[in-house]
Amino acid sequence: MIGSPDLLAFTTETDFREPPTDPFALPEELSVPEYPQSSESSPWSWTSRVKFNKDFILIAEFSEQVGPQPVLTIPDGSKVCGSFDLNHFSLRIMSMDYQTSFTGPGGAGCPKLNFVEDAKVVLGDSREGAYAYVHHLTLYDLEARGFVRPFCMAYVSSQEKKIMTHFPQLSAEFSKASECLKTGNRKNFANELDKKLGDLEYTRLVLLREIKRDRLNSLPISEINGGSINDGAAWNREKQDKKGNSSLLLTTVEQKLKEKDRSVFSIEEERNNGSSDFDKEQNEDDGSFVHVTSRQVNDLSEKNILKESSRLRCTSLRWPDKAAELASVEKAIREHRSLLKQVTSYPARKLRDPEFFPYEPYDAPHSLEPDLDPQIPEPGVECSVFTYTSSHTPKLVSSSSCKQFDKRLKNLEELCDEYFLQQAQKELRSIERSFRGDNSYLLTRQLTQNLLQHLKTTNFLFEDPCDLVAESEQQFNRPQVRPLLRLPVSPLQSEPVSLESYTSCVEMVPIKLDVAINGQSVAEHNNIPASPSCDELPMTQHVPAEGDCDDKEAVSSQMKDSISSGESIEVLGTEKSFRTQGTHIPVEVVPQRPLSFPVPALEGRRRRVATQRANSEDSIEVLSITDSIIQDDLRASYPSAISEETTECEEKEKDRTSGQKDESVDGNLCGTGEVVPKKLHIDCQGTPCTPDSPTLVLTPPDACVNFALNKVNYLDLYAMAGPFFPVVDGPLQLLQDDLSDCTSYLSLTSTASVSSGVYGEKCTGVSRRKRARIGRAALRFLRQFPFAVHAVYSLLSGRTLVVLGSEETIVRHLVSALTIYTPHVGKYKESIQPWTSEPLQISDLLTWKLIGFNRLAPPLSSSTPPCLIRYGRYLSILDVDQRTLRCPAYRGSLICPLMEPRSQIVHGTTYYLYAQSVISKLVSRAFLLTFCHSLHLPSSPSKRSRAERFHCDLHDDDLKILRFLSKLISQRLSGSTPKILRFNYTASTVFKQ
Amino acid sequence: MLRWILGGRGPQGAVEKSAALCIGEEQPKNCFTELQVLKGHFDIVRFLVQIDDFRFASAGDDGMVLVWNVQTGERLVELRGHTQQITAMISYTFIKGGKAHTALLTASSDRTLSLWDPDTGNRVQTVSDLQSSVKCLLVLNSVDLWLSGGNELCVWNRDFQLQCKSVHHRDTGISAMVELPKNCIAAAMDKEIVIFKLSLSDPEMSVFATRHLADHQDTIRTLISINDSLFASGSHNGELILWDALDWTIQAYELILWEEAPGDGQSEIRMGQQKQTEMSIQHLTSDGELVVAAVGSGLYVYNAVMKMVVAYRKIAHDSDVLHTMLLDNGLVMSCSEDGSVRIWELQDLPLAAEPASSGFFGMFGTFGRSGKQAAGAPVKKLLDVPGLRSLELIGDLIGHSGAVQMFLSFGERALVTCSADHLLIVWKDGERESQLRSLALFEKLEEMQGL
Repeated sequence: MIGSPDLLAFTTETDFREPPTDPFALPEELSVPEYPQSSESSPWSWTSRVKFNKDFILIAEFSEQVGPQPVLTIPDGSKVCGSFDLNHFSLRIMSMDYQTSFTGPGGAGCPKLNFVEDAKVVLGDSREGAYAYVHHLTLYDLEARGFVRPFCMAYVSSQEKKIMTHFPQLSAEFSKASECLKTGNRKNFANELDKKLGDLEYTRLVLLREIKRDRLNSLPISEINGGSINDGAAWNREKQDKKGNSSLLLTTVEQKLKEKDRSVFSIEEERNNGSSDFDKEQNEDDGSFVHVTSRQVNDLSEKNILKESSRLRCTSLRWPDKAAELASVEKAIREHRSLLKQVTSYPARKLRDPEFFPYEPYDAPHSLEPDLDPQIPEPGVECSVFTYTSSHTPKLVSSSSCKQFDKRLKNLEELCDEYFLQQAQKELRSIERSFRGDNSYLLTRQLTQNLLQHLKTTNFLFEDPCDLVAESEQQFNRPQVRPLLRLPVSPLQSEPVSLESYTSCVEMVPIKLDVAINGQSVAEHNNIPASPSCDELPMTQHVPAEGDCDDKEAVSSQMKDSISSGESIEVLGTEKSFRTQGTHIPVEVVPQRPLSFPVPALEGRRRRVATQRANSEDSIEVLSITDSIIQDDLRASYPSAISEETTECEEKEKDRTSGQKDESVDGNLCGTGEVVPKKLHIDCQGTPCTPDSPTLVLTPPDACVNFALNKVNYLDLYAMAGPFFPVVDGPLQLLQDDLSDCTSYLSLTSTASVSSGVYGEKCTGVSRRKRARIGRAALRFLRQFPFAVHAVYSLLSGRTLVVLGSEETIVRHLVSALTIYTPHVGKYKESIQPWTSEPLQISDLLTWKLIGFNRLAPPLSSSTPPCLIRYGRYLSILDVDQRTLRCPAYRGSLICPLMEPRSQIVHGTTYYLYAQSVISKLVSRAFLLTFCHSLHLPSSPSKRSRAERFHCDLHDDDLKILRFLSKLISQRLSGSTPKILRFNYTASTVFKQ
Repeated sequence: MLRWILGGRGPQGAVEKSAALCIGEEQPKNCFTELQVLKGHFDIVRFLVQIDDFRFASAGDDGMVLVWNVQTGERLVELRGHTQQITAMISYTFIKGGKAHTALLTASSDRTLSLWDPDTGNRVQTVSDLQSSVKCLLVLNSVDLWLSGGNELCVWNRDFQLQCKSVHHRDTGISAMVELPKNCIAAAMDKEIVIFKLSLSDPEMSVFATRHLADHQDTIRTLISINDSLFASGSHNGELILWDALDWTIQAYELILWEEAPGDGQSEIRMGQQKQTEMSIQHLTSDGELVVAAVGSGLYVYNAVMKMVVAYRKIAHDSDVLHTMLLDNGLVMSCSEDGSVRIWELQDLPLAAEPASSGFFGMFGTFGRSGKQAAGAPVKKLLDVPGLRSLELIGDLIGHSGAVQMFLSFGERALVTCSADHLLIVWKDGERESQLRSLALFEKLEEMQGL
């Protein structure tokens, strides 16, 4: 039998520890925390019982037909999974549905889409030794039960600790992937709905016709016969109308329908006379129709109606009760329209939440200017939609055929738009890459990065800027963060500090809102959410206008309902209707570019409405309604569902915020590598939690609190945690097991704070591989050249090293190997010139410290290029072709450790790390040299002796290295120092192999 | 020797040809261990003029004058206005409002003269449409006048008003001028030196030639004043004549001198156009006692007081020496068309002196331009001279890729070189600079209150 998987409490040991008080301890930002499990075991001590070779990502589905089943794994194939039973494991991870699903209120008899937030759980299968971070998500499928297909993505690892430690990062990364999948799915779903709607419309028309025909049929036969005499004339008249009369374009649907009915009637009659005639008519019909783009669909369907209805006439009648059928079809139309509206308005609503960043296709064209020309289909993703939709030929649908359980379920490719699916897979692959490796490796790396960021004075010398990426972001964010850190805001305070950022979901008091529609501020609307937006909407011209309005009403009422359902925290989180951005993130009204593709022209065009709190004092609640449906332009558009556009501004903001994310993670993880509860929200009045303004600034996207906890627990938790964490400096990261409700596991909904990993960036995987490559190359260099130490000495003492060779690849390879030892002078990589043939100038030597130089002469000729001879005193020349090195000899000892591991170390990465550690020792000595006053200005005898001591236990050559590094450090610190070349008049030695 | 004459100007040629001059990379006495490249000119940089303790101006064929801060290497101002190459530049210090102001006087091939304020970069005064382009400038501080020498000699006051000018002489014009006592000026015009007398006592200021000294056999390349009583001239064919500054008599021919001379000895007036012979005296410099002559690609040092040769080196560079300088610490510095700057030390000659068979007396022995067989006897004669010392190379500065036109010393702080490769290089003592930098850093740290 299937046992329930182990549920792992997501807790940390350090949640409630006291802040360190040891006065002699290192400053917190520089202290290295102990390895979390150091007491028990070494990081490498875990034994693997698992049947898979390395961590992988599994996507599984709870199929309504066959139950849980694996869909795909990343990386692909059985190589990774080995004998691991994927089926069994998917069964386990899907066997519990942790989704905090929310179904909208079922009012108006319309089906409601579940806007389900992803659930994030850590599960373990101790028998298998497999642990997984499981990210549940649902995709929409029109044919599925409840329109929902439950999926999950799981990061499967054999190390429980790894998942626990990196939960926030995993969660953030998977959320991105999930968002991408869902976006693609929404797009496909909208398409599907659109098609279905087309079918239903068509069916309705046919049915109407049928009913009319029936009515006619019930008339005496003679009348029909009499009519049949005139039928040809009637048909022709209609055709003329269509050809010449532009007024037809303006005819209402009703009129058209009448005409169509007439013509159908006529054709039916004709049909009785002979089918060949009809065909002829049809051909003629094709030729003479003036196709107007906007009418294309109508024309098409009209033709089809002709065909279809005639076919139906021939066959037995399909609908026994046409009236009932018509009613059910109309109901279906209403339902589908409502669905469509829901699915299309979803991202727009999400967008209003500035912390929601819809998935942004990398190559999608962006424009800050709204493209108002609806005739031009957008390139890229939308284009396919356009063509697809227009080429769709409606089919008849039958209400009885709706339920088919033997149908094949759509697979992932069909569910999700191809592009987005690919992006999601790319995302997942990058997750897999960046979390590859041992937990301790990841931890160490993370620690290193955090610590490095504090070594601002020296970290520029040898560190990959990749590791320091967050630094600039940090600096960028600091001004915003700092003042906030000093705000010991008690969350029990109900009065928000910043009203701008304070939002809530509960509608209580009429609040003045500045409503901006499409960027223009319009008249103030009082209490927008309370008044159904439908009020403002004139009826559409369409027949099913009531339904349309109903839909709108339904949507708005759904919003309303969801908003006011104060008991459920999930509801709030799910709806994301509160604005959780801080004051520093301005609400931007994103001009939405209307898309041009024909849809059943029923859609009220959504207007983006930016609500801003104008009157701050009257209440704590602000309803942030993202769209009101305004009728005035009925140009159909499903913009956000399909294109998910954001402006560049938004993108920037996104970048910025992701930087912020990094930072906040740093803040939290640098100490312990584990999450610490930082922020709780509570509302004294018993209203559900609302994000509190001061903390929000630091809150990364999706970091709204959403616990499945009851209020008492909140208070308790607060009482406990409050005093210890008065300073809120990071996003909330907590979920306490003992505070959770009765369930034994802890479910983290996506709204629970999520922060992306420090190293979740894409460069990580690349740089890791790059490092290994460089390390390997360096090792090879050391083994190849016994005199490598002298070359390294040249680099470290600031003497430009020229790798001279005639083969570019070899030279480039060597140069990349030597980059380990090259301090960064000026900007990163500025000092390295991997390949050049230009004669060197003296000014080049000021910037370049490592040069790959093209010999330009046949390798047999021993001549060194003249420019190298000329500047020989400033250069060390490593001749690859002749395997010689001309440079000052090194007689010191400091850098010898760099050469030692020639034989012992095998792996490139290992050597890279080793070399880095040796070099960082050098750097710290140079740091000392830079800032030791007495070493520079020995004034008193004692100081002088100290200086001498410092100098005397170092060889001159070592001193040169330290001096050079120290020069770089002081140069960096003092700012705008001109580029200079320091050199020594020392003799060079030629080393030969 | 033939090899040397025909030899290339590249330093690698030097390495191969004159092993004696290859000092190698170990130069313990060379204190210039730091360099900074100053970019800004678009053509050959020919002139460097010091403005004050930390500023200097550079000018060249691109017609631009740039003012630099020698400490930071910062370009302070650009003086633009000349449309053609600059032919002469001199600093002009005058008292205005009780304070000394230093301005720059420039002359250009576009036949204009300009006065610049290096603080603001303004062109304070300018004269255009001169009859000929000015080749040399001379400031007479004692009478607060300045002279320009082209085809004629013009006397100007501070406000750029032409006071008087000499009658037109010849097409060749004045190539160099030195100030002599008693308001006299010696001007080199082709093969003769003309002594002009400036009469200030008349109601109208006037200048007239009083004497023509036609003792040089060839074009005079350089003219300097050694001290109050002597001035020297060097010609294309290698004649060095010392003149008395008062009565303009020849004190030494070949190796002699006349007496006389006051003033500003180092007028950087040179004509770099001709360099075909190894005999030509391109440049003379003096510290009042010693005279250093750049003869072809060689150097020699002459004691003007003792009237005897102190030291010589026939092959000091691989190509013509363009500029020389006597440093305070007894070092001689020279720069050459080969792109290098060399630092020499006068050392007592060991008994087996210089192995070279050639001596500079060869140059004096024959006035012809061949001079190739001139080694023999005169050298031996010279070697007999007691107190003869040798010029030992103690260091060289390599950085320029074109001829080093000139250099300017800021004492121990820096040396600036300018070159045909459009660059200026500031050479500094690295040790000293790094100490200064750490001091600055500590000061900054104090300002910032720690890291």
